Amino acid sequence: MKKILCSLLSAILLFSLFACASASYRADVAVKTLADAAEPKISKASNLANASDDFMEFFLGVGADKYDDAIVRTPTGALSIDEYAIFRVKNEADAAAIRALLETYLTGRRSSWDGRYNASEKPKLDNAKTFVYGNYVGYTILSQSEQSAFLSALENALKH
Amino acid sequence: MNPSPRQNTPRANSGGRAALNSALVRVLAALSTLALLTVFIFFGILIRQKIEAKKTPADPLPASESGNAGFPPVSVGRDTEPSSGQPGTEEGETDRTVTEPAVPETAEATDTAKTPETEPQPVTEPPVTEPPAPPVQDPGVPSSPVIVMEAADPGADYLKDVYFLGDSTTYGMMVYAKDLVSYDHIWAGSGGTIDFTDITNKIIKWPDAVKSFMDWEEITIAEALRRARPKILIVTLGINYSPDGNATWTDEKREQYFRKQVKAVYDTVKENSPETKLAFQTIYPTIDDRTSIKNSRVDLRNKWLLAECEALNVPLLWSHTYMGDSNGQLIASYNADHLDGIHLNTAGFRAVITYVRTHPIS
Repeated sequence: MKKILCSLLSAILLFSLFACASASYRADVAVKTLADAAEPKISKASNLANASDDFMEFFLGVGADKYDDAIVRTPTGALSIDEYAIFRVKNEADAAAIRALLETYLTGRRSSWDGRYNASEKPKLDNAKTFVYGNYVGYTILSQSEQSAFLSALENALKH
Repeated sequence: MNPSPRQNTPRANSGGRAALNSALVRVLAALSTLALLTVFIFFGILIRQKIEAKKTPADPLPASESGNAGFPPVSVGRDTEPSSGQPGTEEGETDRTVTEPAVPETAEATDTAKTPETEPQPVTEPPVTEPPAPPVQDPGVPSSPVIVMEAADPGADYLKDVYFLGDSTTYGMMVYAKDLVSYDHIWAGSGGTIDFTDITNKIIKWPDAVKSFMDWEEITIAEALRRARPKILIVTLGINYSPDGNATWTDEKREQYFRKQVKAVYDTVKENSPETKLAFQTIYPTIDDRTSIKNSRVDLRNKWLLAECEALNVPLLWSHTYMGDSNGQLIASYNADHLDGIHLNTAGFRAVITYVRTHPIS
């Protein structure tokens, strides 16, 4: 009985430590620094440019009051749809709110898909996802492999 | 002893030589006369041609113009369908009637000379002149001060001053209108197209005489303007407009954003090549049965385009009506070979160029 109880308590301690470790991200990293770390994982990064304020307002619907730092990179040409955004917010509630807006954006993108010129890019849109790492929230529209590499680089740059 | 008959005596030789000389002289005289006659006839013909040229007026429609394979008139009636094919094979003549305003007599022509006398000169009544006829409005075109009116065709040289910026409906000029528009006056995006969103970030392919289109340098519209400094820029964008398919957007939001893109192009031109005369062109009609881009949506976008051009006081070429049939569909024979209901073929681009030339940006 004692052995069982000890094992159980150890397991609980182990899991609690694991949980704490996975939720710990830095909150002081500039989004530009994160982009510099992660964007090289995108092979066609040279096709990306900073989105205009109109894009932020109309497409993402994210008001400037909801974040304190952001980078949104959109494609300059029609042949590639690679795209991503990283926002730094003040708290979890804001992160959740922005994430909801970004999900709406991705839904809208999927509904307006026009593959006349770039049908082969559709899987990227199907694979698009939002992410949250502590106070950082965003989305990626990338190929599966580049998305994994991008998010991994992002997460590594945010770990203590 | 009689001399051998074969022996030539000096006396016999001199007689024969004289006969020969005489014959030669006659031949030479005849040839000289003939030559002189030919010269006189030639000059006579020349003089006659000059006289006839002065009597006959010059042909108003030259068969071909230098620098291209010719720009034959294209039938522009709504119910006629111009033939497609190689340049120079079009049939029919344009039935477009260009009404130019009558030039009134100027007051200067009738002014009396001033005299140094102190006596007042009698006042002469200015001649009664008819007011200039108003420019003809193209039928079916909205009435707006920014819509460019029809005017006299300034000729093929006009196109040397014009650059075209657009999506695939402009890119097609490189293929179907290369005898009319120089390739380096056509700015299209990568893949030959541009979505009308975040337009200031969009790249165009900078024309290159050596490389293939796919390898042309990609630069922003701003950079292209700084490099080329075009005299006239005609922008035809908007048939690719992804917000139109976004179920989360309302038409009000779509209009707001569309007009912001028009303004963004305007600002980009003003900032990077302020001396360029900017004009927008309406989106061409489509064929509803052949494409998902319906004319109802195209009409709406053209309406937004007109509103923003009016707000910015920027000229607008309303070729949309000109390119459509009586049902507002793209004239079928203007549709490209793959019949997608959107893109133009040779006949279609000829109609566009006709419209551009007969609606010059002043």
